Amino acid sequence: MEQRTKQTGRAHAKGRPQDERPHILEWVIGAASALLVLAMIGFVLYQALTATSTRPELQVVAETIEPAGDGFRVIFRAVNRGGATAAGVEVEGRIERGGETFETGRVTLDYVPAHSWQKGGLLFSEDPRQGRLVLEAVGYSEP
Amino acid sequence: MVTQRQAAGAGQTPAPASPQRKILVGLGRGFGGALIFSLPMLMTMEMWWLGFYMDRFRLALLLILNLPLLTILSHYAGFEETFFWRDDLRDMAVAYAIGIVSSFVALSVFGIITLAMPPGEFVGKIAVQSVPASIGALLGRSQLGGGKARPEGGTEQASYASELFLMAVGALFLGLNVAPTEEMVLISYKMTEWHALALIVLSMLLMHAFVYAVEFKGSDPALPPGTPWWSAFLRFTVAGYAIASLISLYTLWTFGRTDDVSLVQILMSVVVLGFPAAIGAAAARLII
Repeated sequence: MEQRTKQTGRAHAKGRPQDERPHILEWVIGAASALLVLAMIGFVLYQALTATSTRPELQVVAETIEPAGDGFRVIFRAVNRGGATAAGVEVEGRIERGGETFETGRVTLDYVPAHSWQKGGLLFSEDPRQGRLVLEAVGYSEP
Repeated sequence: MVTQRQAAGAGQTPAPASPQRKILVGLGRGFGGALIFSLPMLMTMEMWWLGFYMDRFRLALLLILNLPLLTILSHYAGFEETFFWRDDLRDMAVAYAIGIVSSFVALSVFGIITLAMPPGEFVGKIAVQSVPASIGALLGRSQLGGGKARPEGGTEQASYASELFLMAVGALFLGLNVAPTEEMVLISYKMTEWHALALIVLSMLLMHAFVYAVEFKGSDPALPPGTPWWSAFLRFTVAGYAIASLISLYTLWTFGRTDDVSLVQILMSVVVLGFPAAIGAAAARLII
Protein backbone atom coordinates (compact mmCIF):
# COMPACT_ATOMS: atom_id res chain seq x y z
CA MET A 1 0.00 0.00 0.00
CA GLU A 2 2.81 2.31 1.04
CA GLN A 3 4.67 1.45 -2.14
CA ARG A 4 1.69 2.26 -4.30
CA THR A 5 1.12 5.64 -2.65
CA LYS A 6 4.70 6.58 -3.32
CA GLN A 7 4.46 5.53 -6.94
CA THR A 8 1.32 7.50 -7.64
CA GLY A 9 2.88 10.43 -5.82
CA ARG A 10 5.82 10.37 -8.20
CA ALA A 11 3.58 10.05 -11.23
CA HIS A 12 1.54 13.02 -10.08
CA ALA A 13 4.55 15.21 -9.52
CA LYS A 14 5.01 15.61 -13.26
CA GLY A 15 1.62 17.27 -13.62
CA ARG A 16 -1.99 16.33 -13.47
CA PRO A 17 -3.15 13.96 -16.22
CA GLN A 18 -6.35 14.90 -17.99
CA ASP A 19 -8.51 12.21 -16.33
CA GLU A 20 -7.20 13.22 -12.90
CA ARG A 21 -8.93 16.59 -13.07
CA PRO A 22 -11.33 17.04 -10.15
CA HIS A 23 -14.85 15.95 -10.90
CA ILE A 24 -17.48 18.68 -11.21
CA LEU A 25 -19.20 17.17 -8.16
CA GLU A 26 -16.14 18.03 -6.05
CA TRP A 27 -16.53 21.68 -6.95
CA VAL A 28 -20.28 21.61 -6.26
CA ILE A 29 -19.65 20.12 -2.81
CA GLY A 30 -16.82 22.59 -2.31
CA ALA A 31 -19.02 25.58 -3.16
CA ALA A 32 -21.85 24.39 -0.90
CA SER A 33 -19.34 23.83 1.90
CA ALA A 34 -17.86 27.30 1.45
CA LEU A 35 -21.36 28.79 1.74
CA LEU A 36 -22.04 26.90 4.97
CA VAL A 37 -18.71 27.91 6.49
CA LEU A 38 -19.06 31.57 5.50
CA ALA A 39 -22.64 31.66 6.83
CA MET A 40 -21.50 30.36 10.20
CA ILE A 41 -18.53 32.73 10.50
CA GLY A 42 -20.66 35.62 9.27
CA PHE A 43 -23.32 34.95 11.88
CA VAL A 44 -20.81 34.79 14.74
CA LEU A 45 -19.12 37.98 13.51
CA TYR A 46 -22.50 39.70 13.24
CA GLN A 47 -23.20 38.72 16.84
CA ALA A 48 -19.80 39.98 17.94
CA LEU A 49 -20.35 43.34 16.25
CA THR A 50 -23.93 43.88 17.41
CA ALA A 51 -23.43 42.87 21.06
CA THR A 52 -24.54 45.87 23.10
CA SER A 53 -25.38 45.14 26.71
CA THR A 54 -22.66 43.35 28.64
CA ARG A 55 -24.69 42.48 31.73
CA PRO A 56 -27.33 39.81 32.19
CA GLU A 57 -30.86 41.13 32.59
CA LEU A 58 -32.93 38.46 34.24
CA GLN A 59 -36.65 38.08 34.53
CA VAL A 60 -38.60 35.07 35.78
CA VAL A 61 -42.12 34.35 34.59
CA ALA A 62 -44.44 31.52 35.64
CA GLU A 63 -45.65 29.38 32.77
CA THR A 64 -47.88 26.72 34.30
CA ILE A 65 -49.09 25.83 37.77
CA GLU A 66 -50.23 22.26 38.23
CA PRO A 67 -50.78 19.72 41.02
CA ALA A 68 -47.78 17.43 41.49
CA GLY A 69 -47.90 14.61 44.04
CA ASP A 70 -48.97 16.01 47.38
CA GLY A 71 -48.24 19.59 46.37
CA PHE A 72 -48.00 21.88 43.40
CA ARG A 73 -45.51 22.49 40.65
CA VAL A 74 -44.74 25.87 39.10
CA ILE A 75 -42.96 25.68 35.76
CA PHE A 76 -41.15 28.93 35.13
CA ARG A 77 -39.03 30.46 32.45
CA ALA A 78 -35.97 32.53 33.40
CA VAL A 79 -35.37 34.98 30.56
CA ASN A 80 -32.05 36.77 30.07
CA ARG A 81 -32.50 39.81 27.80
CA GLY A 82 -28.98 41.08 28.45
CA GLY A 83 -25.89 40.51 26.33
CA ALA A 84 -23.96 38.45 28.89
CA THR A 85 -24.52 34.96 30.21
CA ALA A 86 -25.42 34.49 33.86
CA ALA A 87 -24.21 31.40 35.73
CA GLY A 88 -25.58 29.88 38.94
CA VAL A 89 -28.79 31.87 38.72
CA GLU A 90 -30.73 31.68 42.01
CA VAL A 91 -34.46 31.74 41.39
CA GLU A 92 -36.73 32.33 44.34
CA GLY A 93 -40.49 31.83 44.41
CA ARG A 94 -42.76 33.04 47.21
CA ILE A 95 -46.45 32.58 47.87
CA GLU A 96 -47.77 35.72 49.53
CA ARG A 97 -51.19 36.18 51.04
CA GLY A 98 -52.20 39.48 52.59
CA GLY A 99 -48.64 40.79 52.68
CA GLU A 100 -47.38 37.69 54.46
CA THR A 101 -45.07 35.08 52.94
CA PHE A 102 -46.55 31.60 53.29
CA GLU A 103 -44.00 29.53 51.52
CA THR A 104 -40.65 30.02 49.82
CA GLY A 105 -38.98 27.85 47.20
CA ARG A 106 -35.50 28.18 45.68
CA VAL A 107 -33.71 26.61 42.78
CA THR A 108 -30.35 27.28 41.08
CA LEU A 109 -30.05 27.25 37.30
CA ASP A 110 -26.55 26.37 35.99
CA TYR A 111 -26.65 28.87 33.16
CA VAL A 112 -28.99 31.33 31.52
CA PRO A 113 -27.23 32.31 28.25
CA ALA A 114 -27.41 35.82 26.82
CA HIS A 115 -30.59 36.58 24.83
CA SER A 116 -31.94 33.19 25.90
CA TRP A 117 -34.04 31.46 28.48
CA GLN A 118 -33.97 28.41 30.70
CA LYS A 119 -36.93 26.55 32.12
CA GLY A 120 -37.19 25.16 35.61
CA GLY A 121 -39.71 24.06 38.21
CA LEU A 122 -40.45 25.00 41.82
CA LEU A 123 -42.35 22.68 44.14
CA PHE A 124 -44.74 24.02 46.77
CA SER A 125 -46.99 22.27 49.28
CA GLU A 126 -49.50 25.14 49.20
CA ASP A 127 -51.48 26.03 46.10
CA PRO A 128 -49.76 29.09 44.56
CA ARG A 129 -53.08 30.09 43.00
CA GLN A 130 -54.53 30.71 46.49
CA GLY A 131 -52.48 33.88 46.84
CA ARG A 132 -49.88 35.94 45.02
CA LEU A 133 -46.96 34.07 43.45
CA VAL A 134 -43.76 36.15 43.29
CA LEU A 135 -40.92 34.80 41.14
CA GLU A 136 -37.56 36.54 40.95
CA ALA A 137 -33.89 35.97 40.25
CA VAL A 138 -32.00 36.92 43.39
CA GLY A 139 -28.42 36.48 42.19
CA TYR A 140 -25.97 35.02 39.69
CA SER A 141 -22.27 34.66 39.08
CA GLU A 142 -20.21 35.40 35.97
CA PRO A 143 -19.41 32.25 34.06
CA MET B 1 -7.03 -6.71 -1.80
CA VAL B 2 -8.93 -6.69 -5.07
CA THR B 3 -11.16 -3.89 -3.89
CA GLN B 4 -8.10 -1.96 -2.73
CA ARG B 5 -6.55 -2.22 -6.12
CA GLN B 6 -9.79 -1.11 -7.73
CA ALA B 7 -9.98 1.90 -5.45
CA ALA B 8 -6.38 2.81 -6.06
CA GLY B 9 -6.72 2.38 -9.79
CA ALA B 10 -10.01 4.25 -9.95
CA GLY B 11 -8.23 7.43 -10.96
CA GLN B 12 -6.57 5.88 -13.96
CA THR B 13 -9.34 3.67 -15.37
CA PRO B 14 -12.26 5.78 -16.57
CA ALA B 15 -14.96 3.49 -15.16
CA PRO B 16 -18.27 5.38 -15.34
CA ALA B 17 -19.21 5.38 -11.61
CA SER B 18 -15.72 5.68 -10.13
CA PRO B 19 -15.29 9.47 -9.65
CA GLN B 20 -18.51 9.80 -7.66
CA ARG B 21 -17.60 6.72 -5.67
CA LYS B 22 -14.18 8.14 -4.90
CA ILE B 23 -15.74 11.40 -3.72
CA LEU B 24 -18.27 9.56 -1.54
CA VAL B 25 -15.56 7.39 0.01
CA GLY B 26 -13.53 10.53 0.69
CA LEU B 27 -16.49 12.26 2.34
CA GLY B 28 -17.15 9.15 4.43
CA ARG B 29 -13.56 9.14 5.64
CA GLY B 30 -13.88 12.83 6.44
CA PHE B 31 -16.96 12.22 8.62
CA GLY B 32 -15.25 9.27 10.27
CA GLY B 33 -12.19 11.36 11.07
CA ALA B 34 -14.30 14.27 12.35
CA LEU B 35 -16.12 11.98 14.78
CA ILE B 36 -13.03 10.06 15.96
CA PHE B 37 -11.17 13.29 16.67
CA SER B 38 -13.99 15.36 18.13
CA LEU B 39 -16.23 12.94 20.06
CA PRO B 40 -14.41 13.59 23.36
CA MET B 41 -15.17 17.30 22.91
CA LEU B 42 -18.72 16.74 21.65
CA MET B 43 -19.38 14.90 24.92
CA THR B 44 -17.79 17.51 27.22
CA MET B 45 -20.29 19.82 28.88
CA GLU B 46 -17.82 22.70 29.20
CA MET B 47 -17.65 22.75 25.40
CA TRP B 48 -21.45 23.12 25.20
CA TRP B 49 -21.37 25.98 27.70
CA LEU B 50 -18.50 27.68 25.91
CA GLY B 51 -20.69 27.62 22.81
CA PHE B 52 -22.95 30.23 24.35
CA TYR B 53 -20.89 32.09 26.90
CA MET B 54 -17.51 32.51 25.25
CA ASP B 55 -16.68 35.92 23.87
CA ARG B 56 -18.04 36.24 20.31
CA PHE B 57 -14.95 38.06 19.03
CA ARG B 58 -12.68 35.30 20.28
CA LEU B 59 -14.98 32.68 18.79
CA ALA B 60 -15.02 34.52 15.46
CA LEU B 61 -11.21 34.81 15.56
CA LEU B 62 -10.86 31.06 16.23
CA LEU B 63 -13.24 30.29 13.35
CA ILE B 64 -11.33 32.58 10.97
CA LEU B 65 -7.87 31.32 12.02
CA ASN B 66 -9.11 27.82 11.26
CA LEU B 67 -9.38 28.79 7.56
CA PRO B 68 -5.64 29.22 6.83
CA LEU B 69 -4.83 26.39 9.25
CA LEU B 70 -6.99 23.90 7.35
CA THR B 71 -5.75 25.20 3.99
CA ILE B 72 -2.08 24.71 4.88
CA LEU B 73 -2.84 21.39 6.57
CA SER B 74 -4.66 20.26 3.46
CA HIS B 75 -1.54 21.03 1.51
CA TYR B 76 0.51 18.67 3.70
CA ALA B 77 -1.99 16.03 4.74
CA GLY B 78 -5.06 16.62 2.69
CA PHE B 79 -7.92 14.67 1.24
CA GLU B 80 -5.84 13.95 -1.78
CA GLU B 81 -2.45 14.88 -3.07
CA THR B 82 -2.93 18.45 -4.09
CA PHE B 83 -1.14 20.42 -6.76
CA PHE B 84 -2.86 23.77 -6.69
CA TRP B 85 -3.86 26.09 -3.86
CA ARG B 86 -7.31 26.17 -5.47
CA ASP B 87 -7.68 22.49 -4.57
CA ASP B 88 -6.47 23.14 -1.02
CA LEU B 89 -9.06 25.89 -0.61
CA ARG B 90 -11.81 23.56 -1.81
CA ASP B 91 -10.67 20.77 0.49
CA MET B 92 -10.51 23.25 3.37
CA ALA B 93 -14.13 24.28 2.76
CA VAL B 94 -15.26 20.66 2.51
CA ALA B 95 -13.43 19.65 5.71
CA TYR B 96 -14.86 22.66 7.56
CA ALA B 97 -18.36 21.83 6.33
CA ILE B 98 -17.93 18.19 7.39
CA GLY B 99 -16.90 19.48 10.82
CA ILE B 100 -20.01 21.66 11.02
CA VAL B 101 -22.40 18.98 9.80
CA SER B 102 -21.00 16.22 12.04
CA SER B 103 -21.08 18.52 15.08
CA PHE B 104 -24.66 19.49 14.22
CA VAL B 105 -25.76 15.85 13.87
CA ALA B 106 -24.01 14.66 17.05
CA LEU B 107 -25.22 17.57 19.21
CA SER B 108 -28.77 17.20 17.85
CA VAL B 109 -28.85 13.49 18.63
CA PHE B 110 -27.51 14.14 22.15
CA GLY B 111 -30.31 16.69 22.65
CA ILE B 112 -27.77 19.45 23.32
CA ILE B 113 -29.15 21.64 20.57
CA THR B 114 -32.84 22.00 19.80
CA LEU B 115 -34.72 24.16 17.35
CA ALA B 116 -36.40 25.95 20.28
CA MET B 117 -33.01 27.46 21.16
CA PRO B 118 -32.12 31.01 20.24
CA PRO B 119 -29.94 31.07 17.10
CA GLY B 120 -26.94 32.50 18.95
CA GLU B 121 -26.74 29.53 21.30
CA PHE B 122 -27.51 27.05 18.52
CA VAL B 123 -24.83 28.32 16.13
CA GLY B 124 -22.32 28.97 18.91
CA LYS B 125 -22.46 25.40 20.18
CA ILE B 126 -21.88 24.03 16.68
CA ALA B 127 -19.22 26.62 15.82
CA VAL B 128 -16.93 25.89 18.77
CA GLN B 129 -17.05 22.16 17.99
CA SER B 130 -16.59 22.61 14.26
CA VAL B 131 -12.93 23.66 14.65
CA PRO B 132 -11.53 20.42 16.14
CA ALA B 133 -14.01 18.39 14.07
CA SER B 134 -12.79 19.98 10.82
CA ILE B 135 -9.14 19.28 11.72
CA GLY B 136 -10.27 15.71 12.40
CA ALA B 137 -12.06 15.56 9.06
CA LEU B 138 -8.92 16.64 7.23
CA LEU B 139 -6.56 14.37 9.17
CA GLY B 140 -9.02 11.48 9.24
CA ARG B 141 -9.19 11.52 5.53
CA SER B 142 -5.43 11.21 5.16
CA GLN B 143 -5.04 8.83 8.11
CA LEU B 144 -7.90 6.50 7.24
CA GLY B 145 -6.87 6.67 3.62
CA GLY B 146 -3.42 5.34 4.42
CA GLY B 147 -1.63 8.37 3.04
CA LYS B 148 0.98 10.32 4.98
CA ALA B 149 1.85 13.96 4.95
CA ARG B 150 5.17 14.60 3.36
CA PRO B 151 7.28 17.37 4.68
CA GLU B 152 7.62 19.98 2.01
CA GLY B 153 10.31 19.02 -0.46
CA GLY B 154 12.57 21.72 -1.77
CA THR B 155 14.53 24.01 0.50
CA GLU B 156 15.55 23.11 4.04
CA GLN B 157 13.85 26.23 5.42
CA ALA B 158 10.51 25.22 3.89
CA SER B 159 10.81 21.75 5.35
CA TYR B 160 11.61 23.15 8.80
CA ALA B 161 8.68 25.60 8.60
CA SER B 162 6.34 22.76 7.70
CA GLU B 163 7.62 20.75 10.68
CA LEU B 164 6.91 23.66 13.02
CA PHE B 165 3.47 24.09 11.45
CA LEU B 166 2.60 20.42 12.01
CA MET B 167 3.76 20.78 15.63
CA ALA B 168 1.46 23.79 16.08
CA VAL B 169 -1.49 21.83 14.68
CA GLY B 170 -0.76 18.91 17.00
CA ALA B 171 -0.48 21.24 19.99
CA LEU B 172 -3.70 23.04 19.08
CA PHE B 173 -5.51 19.78 18.60
CA LEU B 174 -4.65 18.21 21.96
CA GLY B 175 -4.90 21.62 23.61
CA LEU B 176 -8.46 22.13 22.35
CA ASN B 177 -9.32 18.70 23.74
CA VAL B 178 -8.49 19.55 27.33
CA ALA B 179 -8.42 23.37 27.57
CA PRO B 180 -12.18 23.82 28.09
CA THR B 181 -12.34 21.53 31.13
CA GLU B 182 -12.39 22.90 34.67
CA GLU B 183 -9.61 20.46 35.52
CA MET B 184 -6.99 22.56 33.68
CA VAL B 185 -7.46 25.38 36.15
CA LEU B 186 -7.99 23.02 39.10
CA ILE B 187 -4.68 21.24 38.45
CA SER B 188 -2.87 24.57 38.32
CA TYR B 189 -4.37 25.45 41.73
CA LYS B 190 -3.11 22.19 43.20
CA MET B 191 0.42 22.61 41.89
CA THR B 192 3.22 24.53 43.55
CA GLU B 193 5.91 26.34 41.54
CA TRP B 194 8.16 23.30 42.02
CA HIS B 195 5.54 21.04 40.49
CA ALA B 196 5.35 23.44 37.55
CA LEU B 197 9.11 23.31 37.03
CA ALA B 198 9.03 19.51 37.16
CA LEU B 199 6.21 19.46 34.62
CA ILE B 200 8.17 21.71 32.23
CA VAL B 201 11.17 19.36 32.45
CA LEU B 202 8.97 16.30 31.96
CA SER B 203 7.21 17.88 28.95
CA MET B 204 10.51 18.67 27.25
CA LEU B 205 12.03 15.27 28.03
CA LEU B 206 9.05 13.51 26.48
CA MET B 207 9.14 15.84 23.47
CA HIS B 208 12.80 15.07 22.95
CA ALA B 209 12.05 11.34 23.11
CA PHE B 210 9.58 11.86 20.27
CA VAL B 211 12.22 13.78 18.32
CA TYR B 212 14.56 10.79 18.72
CA ALA B 213 11.78 8.50 17.51
CA VAL B 214 11.55 10.59 14.33
CA GLU B 215 15.32 10.48 13.98
CA PHE B 216 15.27 6.71 14.49
CA LYS B 217 12.74 6.33 11.71
CA GLY B 218 15.20 8.20 9.52
CA SER B 219 12.33 9.48 7.41
CA ASP B 220 12.94 13.10 8.18
CA PRO B 221 15.19 15.09 5.82
CA ALA B 222 15.57 17.79 8.50
CA LEU B 223 17.13 15.25 10.85
CA PRO B 224 19.75 13.24 8.93
CA PRO B 225 21.49 10.49 10.93
CA GLY B 226 24.42 11.90 12.86
CA THR B 227 22.76 15.17 13.80
CA PRO B 228 24.28 16.28 17.14
CA TRP B 229 21.80 15.99 20.01
CA TRP B 230 21.93 19.69 20.91
CA SER B 231 21.01 20.65 17.35
CA ALA B 232 17.87 18.51 17.41
CA PHE B 233 17.15 19.62 20.99
CA LEU B 234 17.32 23.29 20.15
CA ARG B 235 15.66 23.20 16.73
CA PHE B 236 12.84 20.81 17.54
CA THR B 237 12.39 20.21 21.25
CA VAL B 238 12.85 23.76 22.53
CA ALA B 239 11.16 25.34 19.51
CA GLY B 240 8.33 22.81 19.76
CA TYR B 241 7.83 23.47 23.46
CA ALA B 242 7.74 27.21 22.83
CA ILE B 243 5.10 26.68 20.15
CA ALA B 244 3.12 24.38 22.46
CA SER B 245 3.21 27.01 25.24
CA LEU B 246 2.08 29.81 22.92
CA ILE B 247 -0.74 27.64 21.56
CA SER B 248 -1.73 26.85 25.16
CA LEU B 249 -1.85 30.54 26.00
CA TYR B 250 -3.95 31.23 22.90
CA THR B 251 -6.43 28.43 23.69
CA LEU B 252 -6.77 29.52 27.32
CA TRP B 253 -7.37 33.11 26.22
CA THR B 254 -9.90 31.98 23.60
CA PHE B 255 -11.89 30.11 26.23
CA GLY B 256 -11.72 33.04 28.66
CA ARG B 257 -9.52 31.16 31.14
CA THR B 258 -7.06 34.06 31.39
CA ASP B 259 -9.63 36.73 32.28
CA ASP B 260 -9.31 38.27 35.75
CA VAL B 261 -6.51 35.85 36.64
CA SER B 262 -3.10 36.82 38.00
CA LEU B 263 -0.07 36.47 35.73
CA VAL B 264 1.37 33.67 37.89
CA GLN B 265 -1.87 31.68 37.64
CA ILE B 266 -1.96 32.19 33.87
CA LEU B 267 1.62 30.89 33.62
CA MET B 268 0.74 27.87 35.76
CA SER B 269 -2.24 27.06 33.52
CA VAL B 270 -0.03 27.46 30.45
CA VAL B 271 2.42 24.94 31.92
CA VAL B 272 -0.39 22.50 32.74
CA LEU B 273 -1.96 22.79 29.29
CA GLY B 274 1.52 22.88 27.76
CA PHE B 275 2.00 19.25 28.78
CA PRO B 276 -0.71 17.75 26.52
CA ALA B 277 0.06 20.41 23.90
CA ALA B 278 3.73 19.39 23.86
CA ILE B 279 2.81 15.71 23.49
CA GLY B 280 0.42 16.68 20.68
CA ALA B 281 3.10 18.75 18.97
CA ALA B 282 5.71 16.01 19.18
CA ALA B 283 3.33 13.24 18.17
CA ALA B 284 2.04 15.21 15.20
CA ARG B 285 5.44 14.97 13.51
CA LEU B 286 5.27 11.20 13.82
CA ILE B 287 1.62 10.61 13.07
CA ILE B 288 0.41 13.15 10.54
